[in-house]
Amino acid sequence: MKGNLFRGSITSGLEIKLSDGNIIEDVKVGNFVVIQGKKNKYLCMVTDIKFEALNPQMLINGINIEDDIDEKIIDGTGVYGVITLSPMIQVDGEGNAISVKSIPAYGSLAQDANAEDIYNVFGIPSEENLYIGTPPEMDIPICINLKKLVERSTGVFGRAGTGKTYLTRLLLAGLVKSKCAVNLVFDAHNEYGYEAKREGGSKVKGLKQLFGSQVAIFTLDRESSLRREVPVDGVLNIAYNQITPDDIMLLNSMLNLNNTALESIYQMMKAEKNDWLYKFIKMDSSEIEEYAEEIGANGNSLQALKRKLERLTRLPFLKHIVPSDCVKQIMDFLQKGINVVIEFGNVSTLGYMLVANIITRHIHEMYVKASEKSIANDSKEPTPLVITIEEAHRFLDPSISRETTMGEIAREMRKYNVTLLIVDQRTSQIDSEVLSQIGTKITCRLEDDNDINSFLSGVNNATKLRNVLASLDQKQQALILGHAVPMPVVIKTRNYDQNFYNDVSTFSEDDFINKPFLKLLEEEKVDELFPD
Amino acid sequence: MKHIGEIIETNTKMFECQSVKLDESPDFGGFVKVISNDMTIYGIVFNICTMSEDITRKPVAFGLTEEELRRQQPQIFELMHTYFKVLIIGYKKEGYRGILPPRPAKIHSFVYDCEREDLIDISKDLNFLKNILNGQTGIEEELVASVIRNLSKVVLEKDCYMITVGKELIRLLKNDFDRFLTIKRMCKI
Repeated sequence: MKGNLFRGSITSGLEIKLSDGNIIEDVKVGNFVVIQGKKNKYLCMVTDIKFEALNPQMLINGINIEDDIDEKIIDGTGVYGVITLSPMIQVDGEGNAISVKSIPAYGSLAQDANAEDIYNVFGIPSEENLYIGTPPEMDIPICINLKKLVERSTGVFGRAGTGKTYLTRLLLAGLVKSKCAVNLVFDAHNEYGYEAKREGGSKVKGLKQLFGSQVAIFTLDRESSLRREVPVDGVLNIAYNQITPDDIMLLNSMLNLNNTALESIYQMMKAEKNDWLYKFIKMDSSEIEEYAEEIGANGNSLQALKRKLERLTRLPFLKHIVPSDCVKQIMDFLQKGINVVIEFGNVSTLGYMLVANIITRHIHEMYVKASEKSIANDSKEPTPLVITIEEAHRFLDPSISRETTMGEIAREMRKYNVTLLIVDQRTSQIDSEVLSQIGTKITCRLEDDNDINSFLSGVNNATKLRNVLASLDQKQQALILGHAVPMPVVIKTRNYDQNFYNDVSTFSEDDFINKPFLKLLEEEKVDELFPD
Repeated sequence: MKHIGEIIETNTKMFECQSVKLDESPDFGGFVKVISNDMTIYGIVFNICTMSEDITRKPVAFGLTEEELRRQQPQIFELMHTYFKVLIIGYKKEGYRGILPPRPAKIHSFVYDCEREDLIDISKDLNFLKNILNGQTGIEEELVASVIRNLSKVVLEKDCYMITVGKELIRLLKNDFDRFLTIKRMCKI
């Protein structure tokens, strides 16, 4: 694409008249264009494409053109293409990339960015710079800065089937490889730890297959993991005494608890300390009546509460006494810098939320303590931790996000080196306050207006990016904006394939392709790993 | 090189010529040149008329064929002359330039038909379009169309030339797109 600047402002963007011989259909929204001004170079994104005419009458009468020659005469002269660009980065004469504070001189030449322009802004692929995709029409790697990514929370959004999991896998693999952060993944659909099925049938490698001992897999559903032949490092069980009223409150909407019930729970907690839940669930009706009187609660409402909480007893991982404190094990792994994936197997959403909340609560405590210690001793801060949660809106719903640990992490924890990687389909259902704290936003195609509005709320140039967002392909394309990228960028997501494996994995091809860990497991006697 | 006419009236923008022979003027929209002073001046023929030498004596209709008329009234053909007007479009002095010459063509200079090389020079400079459209001739659309048709026969790449000329016309006629369409239609024969 080539053209010249003929109109523009900082707020409305720059308008380029497409030069003769350029076909308007070749210009795509989201592409990179460089404008060489007299002093500065501007890297811009195409945000709109339209026709204009020297005379409005030409737009109407020009349609009745008779042959090729007539078409060529009118095209580019009477009626011409206008490309609206949003300037994103300004590079001054000394090569410093700064935010845009001026616009290029009238008539400046605009043309497609080349590899050098893109590298200058996004950097070249390296440990810290993860090659995440290419511009839709170019074959030049675009990188995302992982160090910056982990400084703030990250959101990966998009409708179902647009490639969120795919992108998250790329990010996680990049993070593990770069060691910029240690990861804790709440893998609701068993997609990140070990082998997962890609849409269309073929299989893709999980983190364990790529990074071996740097990744530990815990499961809540041992049977499911065994069926899928996943080499797990531990079976996660939760003891009743690890559950606090706050954890229950998170399940409020699912268990349909009212305020009285919640108050009763707090009362029980006060009376029974950590054992409250187990004791309460084991009570029969007459005991409950007595107990209600004892703690000054309403008997009927306690009965109802018990019926509701009984749903928890059906969770397979919830035990009175657990063989080992898995939560502590997970903490130990994380402290050693080993990434942890928690597989949920066929555990219900209820279980997913309960476990995720309990574990994050512990992490919260651990990281706050570690950070405070490091401040006191002037020692090294703890390694950044990234917690990946799927279906994040369940934790970050406006009605509960103020109370949940997840909500707190999203808002505050970057100071303590803990950030979230939120994977969700519905941005509109996430608390706007949490959403505004997300540093890097990555989105695949969104269609619901509310979701688009929430995604773009607080974003500079939101109206222009809306066009870009609407033009994303159904699959494998994403818009990235925020802290980890110097400018908003549309990418065609990199393929998660053998090339990628080779790039990130330290294993040789033979090691991880066919016989990764199962054989090793057999040798180490699987049974020993699962003491009953 | 035989001349085809002689200048009988001249000014900066145009000149009028008398044809050497009765009824043998160059075509409407044709290109002619005149060598005057130290330059060659080029122009387009736009108005051709044949009339009596004595403007007070108007010819009458005899109801005879031309042959009969020549036999019976031979003096008529001696008293009649063909005149043509030429709009000046450029001059050549160390190379062709599509602008008005600094001095008009001299009276009684001989006028010649342009050759192919001259036409190719003229075709490269589209200033003549603006000159014609300025409205000195009263038949701008017809004249532009005729000139374009004539030039398109000598240029090497006709389609390419038509596109270039069309684009220039659109630029000039941006406020009167219908006029552009009319000319465009007239260009196709």
